[in-house]
Amino acid sequence: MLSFLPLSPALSPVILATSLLFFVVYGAFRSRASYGSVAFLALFALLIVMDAAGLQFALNFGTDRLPSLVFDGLSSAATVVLCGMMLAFFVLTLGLAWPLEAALLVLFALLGMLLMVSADSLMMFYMGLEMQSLALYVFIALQGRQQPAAIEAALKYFILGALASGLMLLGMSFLYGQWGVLGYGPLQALLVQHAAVSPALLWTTLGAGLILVGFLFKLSLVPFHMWTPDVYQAAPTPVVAFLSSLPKVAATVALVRLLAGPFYPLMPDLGDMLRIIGALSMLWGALAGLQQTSLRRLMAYSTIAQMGFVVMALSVATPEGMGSALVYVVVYAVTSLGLFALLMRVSDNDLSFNDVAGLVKASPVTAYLLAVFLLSLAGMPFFAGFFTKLSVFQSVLAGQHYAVVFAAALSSVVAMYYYLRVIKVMIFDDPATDQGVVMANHGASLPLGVAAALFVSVFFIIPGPEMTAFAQKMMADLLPQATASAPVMTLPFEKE
Amino acid sequence: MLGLFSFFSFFLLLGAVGVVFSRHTVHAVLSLIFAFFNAAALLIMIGAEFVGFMLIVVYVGAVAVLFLFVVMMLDVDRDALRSAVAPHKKWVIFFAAVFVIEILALVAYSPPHLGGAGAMGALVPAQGDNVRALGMVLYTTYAPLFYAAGMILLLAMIGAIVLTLRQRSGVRRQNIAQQNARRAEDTVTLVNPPSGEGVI
Repeated sequence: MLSFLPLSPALSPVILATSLLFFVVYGAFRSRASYGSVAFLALFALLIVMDAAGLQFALNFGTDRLPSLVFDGLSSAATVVLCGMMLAFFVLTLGLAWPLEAALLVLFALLGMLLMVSADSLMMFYMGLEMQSLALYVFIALQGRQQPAAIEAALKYFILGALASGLMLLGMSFLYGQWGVLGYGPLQALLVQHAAVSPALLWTTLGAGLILVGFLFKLSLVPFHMWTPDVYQAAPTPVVAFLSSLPKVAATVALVRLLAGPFYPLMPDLGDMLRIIGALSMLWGALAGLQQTSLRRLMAYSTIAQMGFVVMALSVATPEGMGSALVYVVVYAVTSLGLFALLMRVSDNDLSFNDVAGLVKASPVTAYLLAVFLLSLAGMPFFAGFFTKLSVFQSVLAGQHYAVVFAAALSSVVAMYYYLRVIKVMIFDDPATDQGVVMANHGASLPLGVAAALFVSVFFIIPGPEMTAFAQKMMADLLPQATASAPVMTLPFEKE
Repeated sequence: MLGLFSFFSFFLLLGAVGVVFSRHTVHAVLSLIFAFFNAAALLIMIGAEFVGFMLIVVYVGAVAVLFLFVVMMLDVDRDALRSAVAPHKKWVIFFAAVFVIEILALVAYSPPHLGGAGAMGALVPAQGDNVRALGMVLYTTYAPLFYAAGMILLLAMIGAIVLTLRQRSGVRRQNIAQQNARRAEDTVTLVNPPSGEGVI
């Protein structure tokens, strides 16, 4: 990671917030300002933010702090990844006739995510989560002008999200009532100190469990997944591309920070909970996906199953498990961004299987690239999805949790059916109508799709091994020392 | 002290239950106001007078009154609302009961307070008054949180405006510059009608 400006990583949210305020003023006073012009200006702001966060790696700064914020390797890496995806999203949507405020709202969501990934106290984490969620509710509802179904989706998302936030706050109040601290560091110290006193930890475990509910909602895991298919179906394709990528990465990183920090002493209990939830999500995501006739709903159930893998890997609380969960979610986000970018070329609305039948005749490139993404999601060897699934399986097996790995394997097999079915419909079936699939023209969607497909295809050579090694080393530094000394497993594709 | 605490928390819970179970939406908002007052009393009891009074000023004085206005203007079809929820009533009560029993079981099994500073210790200022204690930390220790809250409010404002503002065509808009540029000699015509004839 190169860095050109001498900016501290602690400045990354500050730079984003400042440029956001500038865009608000720019949008208000410049009559010709449009979504495209703000998105174009935001590209430069994002590059500066990435540069500031990248300095962490260039100079090997160690840890930078602000009150209730921490800027270490994890938050800098997450900032760079999130801003990179945001760049891709803006490039993808630059030509759309969205209202100007849409650009401000996604930037607010990004700011919330940056606060989430570098939060060092429960309060700051909650602030980031609320900022991100509020921006996304409005962002989805904004599409209701063209698609009235989007309003229903936004309302459903909002009400369930508010409930999840409420439960999360209740959990935080339990923790605060018990220990009187909000910072991750002090909370962890207190919990380690009192780990032997089990009745006191009951309250704490309940509080932590309620906080996890908020995460499970954000990551759309069973039984908090109800909003996902509806939102995916009703929102326009670019919005789904955003929803299925960035928030998942941010929520996973924030969850890692909590589980590796203050909740680490509670991991025996929380780990069981996460494993059960993960197994349920993987199975339900695979089984319910079989019934779907809408492509978007299918992808929603695929998300549910994929996020099940992430929490399964997190539940083992080892550097390998958490590192592979981080790599898994980043690869998933890139795949999903590429997949929906390509679907933009077919339609802005929801698609049934009939709508994409014989897609290969209309645009062979789109059909084959989509097949690459679907195969990667299914976990076919030599695509990124296979290697990330493999390292998740290995880390969970190392913890000897055989039942959940069995559920994961079962889910992969069942889900393979629906991924392959989409590929079959696209490539081998005849078009449903005489004129075949009508393609829309979106300038940047094809190059972005190609780039994402390239990432997915050559992941096992570069940058897969480096990413996995980096994530696992980072987690080894972050986790309490007792586990850091555990033998580090070698992955089959790691260089000797 | 414990008696007073029990008194206020009992009525706080009563108010909260009233919000959920009121058949009439206006009654629900009034119960909410009642709950806010009791919560404020609890806050004042633990020495956080400023926060307690702010709760009354902001929530009762502004938010709840706004709610009342909105609720009174809405035409809520209560029967339709009830029949939509009725089929799921069993499950709602079941899950609520499970949640309450879990928490009661925890209360029974755990010591009330252990380790740490405890919430009380953190809230009550060591010296000086409430406002001073709040001011000492709000712009120093909690400055990033304060800014983040400001950004959330800005976001809420932008969101509310963008969702409700609809550009309509054919609306006569006030143009202040144009109004100020008008001069009397351009627009005012003085006539002197002869008596008995009027202006034609």
